[in-house]
Amino acid sequence: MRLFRVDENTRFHIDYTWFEKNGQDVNILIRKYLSPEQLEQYTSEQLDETFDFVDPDTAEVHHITRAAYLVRAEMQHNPNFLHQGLPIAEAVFRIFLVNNNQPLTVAELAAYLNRRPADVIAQIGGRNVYNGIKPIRN
Amino acid sequence: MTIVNSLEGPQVHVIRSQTFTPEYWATYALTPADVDFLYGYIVEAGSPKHVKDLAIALIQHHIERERVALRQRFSNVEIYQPRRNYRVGDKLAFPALQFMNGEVIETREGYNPDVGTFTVIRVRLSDGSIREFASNYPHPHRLNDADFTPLLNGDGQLTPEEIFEQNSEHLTIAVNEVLSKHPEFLRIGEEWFLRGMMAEVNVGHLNLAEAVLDMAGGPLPTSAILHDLGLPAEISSEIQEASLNEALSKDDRFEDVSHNERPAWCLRRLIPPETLTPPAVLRLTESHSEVALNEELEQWIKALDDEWNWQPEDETLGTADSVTLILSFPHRVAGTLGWSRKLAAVLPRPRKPRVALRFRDKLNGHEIPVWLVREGRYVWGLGPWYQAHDLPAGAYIEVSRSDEEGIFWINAPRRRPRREWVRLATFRDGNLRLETAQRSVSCEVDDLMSVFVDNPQQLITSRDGRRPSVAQAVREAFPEIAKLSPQGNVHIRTLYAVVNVLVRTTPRDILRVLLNNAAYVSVSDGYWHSSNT
Repeated sequence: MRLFRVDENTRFHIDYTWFEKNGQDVNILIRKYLSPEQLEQYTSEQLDETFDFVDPDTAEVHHITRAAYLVRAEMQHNPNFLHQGLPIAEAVFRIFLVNNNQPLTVAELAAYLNRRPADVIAQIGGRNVYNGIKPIRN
Repeated sequence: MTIVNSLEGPQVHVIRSQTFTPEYWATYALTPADVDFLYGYIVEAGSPKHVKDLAIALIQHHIERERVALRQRFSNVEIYQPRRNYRVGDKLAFPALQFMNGEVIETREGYNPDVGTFTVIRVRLSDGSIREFASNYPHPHRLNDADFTPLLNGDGQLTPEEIFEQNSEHLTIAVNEVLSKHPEFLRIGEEWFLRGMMAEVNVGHLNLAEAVLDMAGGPLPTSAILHDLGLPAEISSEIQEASLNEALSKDDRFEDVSHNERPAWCLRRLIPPETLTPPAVLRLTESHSEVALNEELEQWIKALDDEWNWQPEDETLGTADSVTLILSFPHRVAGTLGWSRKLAAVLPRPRKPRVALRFRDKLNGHEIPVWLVREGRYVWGLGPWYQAHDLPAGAYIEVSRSDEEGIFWINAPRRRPRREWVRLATFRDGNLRLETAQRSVSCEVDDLMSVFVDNPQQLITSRDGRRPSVAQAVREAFPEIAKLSPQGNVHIRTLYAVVNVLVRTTPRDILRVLLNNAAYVSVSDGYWHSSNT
């Protein structure tokens, strides 16, 4: 594999194929972010049901599960969902969950997390992939 | 082309083009195409144009150009809105993607139990990517509520004048800098013109202009000089004026002495020599001491309003309709007024070396031609007026704006003449002497700063060219003032007034002398005491 150097301008996103390749179910992971009330309100089938989510800004349609939709819709303004105490890699994963997995550069992620770009690169730019967070190679 | 989205009000989402935003112009750098446009603009106008007019024309030009480009861009495409119905083959522009274009390649039914029925269109965007968007989507959405009409016709957006006002400093500098690098443009004051359009003004014209000004004996506006010059009638009067202004500004015989941007020319040899070289009595003596002053002393300095205690370049200085000043001895002798912070708030603040103004006596309406000398920071021409009103040093003088441009009211509040005990300065045996004596007083005077001198000019002469240092002058003046007070205390304002009879200096330098000498002790409220007196 060709070496890929990550810098401040490298864009990252969640590569959902990574979960399949590594024998993991992303839906189970996403359910962990739901509140007990949300888990009580919907059955397992309902949470895994996919539907067309219309982006409130762009009107772009994303085909996602109800669980992912609930995380996106209800957690993005929850201060307990994204906060300074989270490890950087986990915080980045949560950012991509709520922003429709729109790619962001290291610099943008660092600004959002109020951390140094070098810290972000150290956490998500190495060989070990966390929850499918991978750089986008041009 | 960037298009800026901004939410205005709770409901309507207005889409602006970038040239309508002040942010776009805040850092704008002119291009060669802009210079070409400005060249054509001046040619079309046929007259010099103010830098502000050029900047506004440039903004207008950009707005028009972008509007045309947007109309062309959207002539074959529809601006995407989720509520509309689209079919395969429709060409769309997507507002949320910087108006990127795309073509609908597929449609399907959308599925979302929370929303109800709608359609999903699959679109191939101009960057090659394929993305899906909602259509037939009647629900509230910011793109459904968006108003795109201002984008295409400019309704309700900022005017070029408003955009200029918000970026006037940057745009003025940007236009001036770029045009100054192009020799075909000619700067005349704050206006720009083209060299190729100038009328020919030859030596004969300039000699004639000299004769006209010689006859006038004072400043004349360009239009008045042109009247006798006979430049070709087919050339517009504006171009004639611009051409003559340019020619006069390059000839050392002439000087522009107007207080505004419309030149008024005067023969340099007719300009009073007192405005070319400051009168000797105003020549400043400095102490060169670097003692720091506390806030209270700074307040005294500010209150004394010496003309050397401010910077004419200070843009934060406000304006005033009227000010009251106290005439100091050096200015009384020189027939001048200090162009101090207070006075500058009423008078113009020109960048020219000297400008001609007119004061009008509030008492009798007589006009007094005066000159404001920027570098020397004084207004010259008041000697006869001081003499006529018998004003001593310490007299109050009011200066106020009038309704006429370039004319200012001047007044020395009068009172019924009566003999009063006053502080009288004389020069005996080479030293300053102060005493109280009875003199006739017919104007309002400041008790702390008045210094009567029977014959000011004679006192200057009797100083015999002696120019003491500030410290020597303080040493000489302090005991003379102290002896006239029962407590022997000396107020800083009185000390400033009397020291300036001996030598022209600033309150800051006098205070530095006091602070440098342990014999002087600040008592309170501006009073000082000396252990030597």
